[in-house]
Amino acid sequence: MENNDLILELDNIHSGYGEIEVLKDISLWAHRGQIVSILGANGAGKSTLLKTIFGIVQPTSGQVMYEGQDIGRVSTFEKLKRGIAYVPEGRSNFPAMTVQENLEMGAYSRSDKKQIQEDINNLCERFPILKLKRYTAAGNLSGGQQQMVEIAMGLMLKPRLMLIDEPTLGMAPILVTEVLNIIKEINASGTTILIVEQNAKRALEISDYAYVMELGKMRMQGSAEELGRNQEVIEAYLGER
Amino acid sequence: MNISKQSLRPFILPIVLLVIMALLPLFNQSGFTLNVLINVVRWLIFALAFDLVAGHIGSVSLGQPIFYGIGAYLTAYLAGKLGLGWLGCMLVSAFFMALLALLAGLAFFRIRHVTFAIGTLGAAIVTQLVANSAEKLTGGALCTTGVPRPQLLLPFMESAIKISKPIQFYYLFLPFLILTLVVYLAVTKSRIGRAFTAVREDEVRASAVGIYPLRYKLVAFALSGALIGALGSWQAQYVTVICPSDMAQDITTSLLIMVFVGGAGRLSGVIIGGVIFSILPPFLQAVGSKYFQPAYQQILYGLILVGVMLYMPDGLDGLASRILRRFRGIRKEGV
Ligand SMILES: Nc1ncnc2c1ncn2[C@@H]1O[C@H](COP(=O)(O)OP(=O)(O)OP(=O)(O)O)[C@@H](O)[C@H]1O
Ligand SMILES: [Mg+2]
Repeated sequence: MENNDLILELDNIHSGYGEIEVLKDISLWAHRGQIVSILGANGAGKSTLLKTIFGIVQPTSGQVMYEGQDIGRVSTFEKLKRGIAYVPEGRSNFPAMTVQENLEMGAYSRSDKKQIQEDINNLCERFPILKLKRYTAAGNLSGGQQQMVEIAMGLMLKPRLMLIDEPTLGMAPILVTEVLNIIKEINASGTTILIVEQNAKRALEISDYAYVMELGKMRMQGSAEELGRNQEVIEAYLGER
Repeated sequence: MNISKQSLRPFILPIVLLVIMALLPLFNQSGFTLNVLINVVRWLIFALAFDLVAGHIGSVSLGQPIFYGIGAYLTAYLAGKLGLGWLGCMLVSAFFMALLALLAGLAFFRIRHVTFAIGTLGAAIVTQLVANSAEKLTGGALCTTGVPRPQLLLPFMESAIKISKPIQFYYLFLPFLILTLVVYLAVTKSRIGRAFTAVREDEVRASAVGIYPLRYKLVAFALSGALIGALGSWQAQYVTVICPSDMAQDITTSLLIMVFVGGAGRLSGVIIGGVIFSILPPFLQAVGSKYFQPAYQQILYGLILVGVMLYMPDGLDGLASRILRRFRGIRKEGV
């Protein structure tokens, strides 16, 4: 593929928390329009990788390029403005706020009040569950519904790149399918997706390309198809499930 | 959903409270009543400022009396030595305590929750010790005395009147409570308040929507410091004496009780807790100090706090609204 097709490029990233180095020489590419998944066992550094891209964690060395520009020194606020959305792992909505308020929070970096309400209406049309639970406290929703709210919060920014951390953690298989289908749909409407998953099989089903991490290092990468034929190897890296 | 009714709701309780407090002295001007009322004003301001950080940001600072104490000492100097007016003293104290809070915040917000509480507690203990031993500066345990009383000069008045009667103090103090309530509501019901909630609930999630947790923590801490600093300044001019024990831990204990038993992070909760627990001690003392020594009060407060944390996590305010909801019948959420 052509280089200008690259939306995200990580070159030799080292990163961590204070003295603790978690990511060791990570390089990664995502092309516009792709779904790229990052697989790995607990503690492999997947979340740290997304945090480093988004800028909550600062890399100690290496370069993060987005749409051809070095965003290593760019604030998270500015990254949101430039079209990068980040959906953290875990229950990451604001449980005491209603779905409506959560969606408004998703647009915190925007100031076009009227358009925000319009976008919320549109999202509610697109995802009926949001409409149904619009004025319910997010904390009272089921796990899958909450995940939908979290993804929708990210969509409030109409992102060109979405970083999603383990959206299906702890979900029943049928819900996993539902959430992954929605991510596929978001991707189909033009958003590049970088998704962290522990469920390698399911992730590969929707991905174009995948990386496998272990102990802060990249161990494997390849097209989803290619890696799909190497399930056992991947499972070995993922360890006991 | 009735939007206007919804948005008026937070103002009802504070307005009712203020009206009652403004009118009460018209019926009863006994020293006891005024003393209680002044006490209520003082504690409400203190508790509201405390709650801005503890309730809204979710970082429980056990060192807030520092701002009170330093604000008071600063005023003793400004008013006593430099002859600065009462309002000037309050403003300067507020300014410097906001500044101190910013610096302290930069240091203490690096650590989290439990360590934050312990760090700020340590700071409070050290500050009290310093105030105790820096006799030249503070008078040590013998206190700084003789802080001048405020002089009030309004445009229509020929000459300034010296504020010395409790009733005068009270009616001059009340506007400060109003201001505190206005600031509290303006901040917590605004965009900033949303950011506070976001930071309290989940810092990573807050960052994900473009909110910088540290920035908002500093805003809350500085605001709290400014209000408490001004309160210390006012109080120094009211009682004319300021002692190291004005920064003691029993003040923080009372704040914890008021805010967490009342309901942290909610105006109605802080008002309920603040009023109850500032009225209670003088009444208990009036009933008989023989049976109710201050030491017992601390023990009782400790027990209440533990009980509430275990069985009533959202405080009296939460309990009240649950009972109210039951009375009205459980209404469906607006769909
Ligand atoms: N805030 C933090 N401070 C210090 N160390 C951290 C912090 N967060 C994560 N770590 C460490 O970094 C390493 C990688 O953590 P990370 O959360 O990135 O892993 P992960 O691959 O996302 O794991 P999981 O699948 O469990 O979510 C772990 O060893 C963890 O202990
Ligand atoms: Mg993770």
